[in-house]
Amino acid sequence: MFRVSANTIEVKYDKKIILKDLLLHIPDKSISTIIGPNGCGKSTLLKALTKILPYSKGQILLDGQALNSYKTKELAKKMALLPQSQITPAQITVRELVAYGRYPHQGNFGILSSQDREIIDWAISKTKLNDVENATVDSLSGGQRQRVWIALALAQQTDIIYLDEPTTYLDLAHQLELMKFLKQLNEEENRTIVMVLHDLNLAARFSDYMISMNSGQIIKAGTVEEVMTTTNLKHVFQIDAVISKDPYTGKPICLSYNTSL
Amino acid sequence: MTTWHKWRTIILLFLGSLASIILAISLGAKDISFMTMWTSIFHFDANNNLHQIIYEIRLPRVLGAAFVGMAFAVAGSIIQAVTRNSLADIGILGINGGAVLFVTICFAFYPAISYGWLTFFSFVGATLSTILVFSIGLVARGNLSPLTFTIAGAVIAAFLHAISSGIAIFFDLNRDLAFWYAGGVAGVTWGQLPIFITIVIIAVFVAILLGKQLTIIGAGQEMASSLGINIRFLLFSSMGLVVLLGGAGVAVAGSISFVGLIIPHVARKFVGHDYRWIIPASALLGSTLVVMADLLARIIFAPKELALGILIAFIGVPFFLIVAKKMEGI
Repeated sequence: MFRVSANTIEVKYDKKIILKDLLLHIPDKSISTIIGPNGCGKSTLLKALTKILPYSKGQILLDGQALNSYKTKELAKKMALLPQSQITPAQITVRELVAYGRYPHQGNFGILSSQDREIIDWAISKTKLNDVENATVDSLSGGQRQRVWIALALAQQTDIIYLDEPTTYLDLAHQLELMKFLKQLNEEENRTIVMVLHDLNLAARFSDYMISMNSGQIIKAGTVEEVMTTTNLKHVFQIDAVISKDPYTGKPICLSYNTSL
Repeated sequence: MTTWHKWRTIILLFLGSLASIILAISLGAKDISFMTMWTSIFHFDANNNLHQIIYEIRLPRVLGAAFVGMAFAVAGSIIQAVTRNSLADIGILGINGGAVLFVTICFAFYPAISYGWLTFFSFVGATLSTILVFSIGLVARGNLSPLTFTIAGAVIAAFLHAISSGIAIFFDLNRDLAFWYAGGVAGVTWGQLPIFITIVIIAVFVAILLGKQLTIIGAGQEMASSLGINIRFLLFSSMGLVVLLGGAGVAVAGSISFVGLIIPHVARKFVGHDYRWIIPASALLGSTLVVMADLLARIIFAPKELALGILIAFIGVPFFLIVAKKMEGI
């Protein structure tokens, strides 16, 4: 079953066609990663799937219903998005920002119920932010700040979570910690996770499904083993990649690469 | 800051605003006691000279000042929320520029125009210039980014002011227009107040209802959209409110700048970053500021009066520089 699918969609940005005839199915309850060179339309695809950008042709379906027929607030109960760059409102505390995640479930005036408070508590402890919950978000480290945005998405309580390059600005250890956390969410709570990643090895290690893109189209989508091949990476990135086996996980890794001639 | 703290702040600000109104009614060329004021409002005696001063001169002027302050302050808060620019004011939508242009045209081609029609046309000018800024913002990028707004607004405002100045010089209108440039509430009449006060109260109430959405858009349009906020609806409705508040304020009192710029910052100091609280706090602080400034304008060099807009600018400019300096530090 695919809850999310895109059928030959076209997406424009400033009248320029970014995605054309794009066909995609996102497997449920799994981790899917979109890879591809800069400017290939990865972020645009994520924005189209979350109704931030409209599509001009084709159809995106969510639970068998056209995405553009949903009200924005209904959609926000089904899917959360962590954008590529976040804007932290000045002087906001961790708890206040995480509470934003409850907005789709509240009345328009946004008064928190006791159930909302419990869910916020849960999201904060799940992301291990208890010690800093009353600190301002500005005062946190990069790794902690990223966890606050994840906590916000968790408080939104959606089955599907989209993340646009969530590991940017994080060091190696924090990247790994974040990915393990997402894997845990996926395994323990059956959340469908879709993300854009630049790090191929991180993508290969944690994904169930990989989508490789170039020039607004999908080059190959499938299991990690199907996508992480020398031939495919040459197609997508114009590189000659040396693919080996990760000694820890047994997954394919890109050992080294060179510009393809 | 707990909810209880915020409620207490709002109540204190309300009492402060009320006190400023009472003070402004009682002080002036003739000082009037609180008792006289009370009886003039609740047991009006048409033969009592003091009662007449209060009813005919002071009350409309002070109420005008209070609601003009409220209108500009709340309009400024809304603009700062949607553009995420803490140096934004209603001038950014060309509201002042549009109003002044229409008033200039009226004076140029129909000098005998009544005050009521002038008010009406200045409101029309404010609305049209806002629509112009809005559509340029939309056409330019196909979406509504804070930056497009700011640029389109600045360009249109400069353009409208240039045309007004040209017409004013050609028809030699600078004396007639002085009031609209400097701003003031001395000419407010009972005829204008009921509709003006109704517009302001309704718009402020709706703005408070949009408060949560205005707060969340502070985390960016993408984030707000993925949290279920209809960005287009929010932008259009909040711009509608700004036109109503700013347009009505300019129509009644001319272009008083800086209220909409300063007050939201002061309000944030009192109640934090949540617009459900910033908007009522701005409304009360704005009314207090303009009422007190108008009182000072009347009494500092009595019997001569200072121009209200200029007095507020005197307070506003140093404040603006401090805010700009602080933002640099971030």
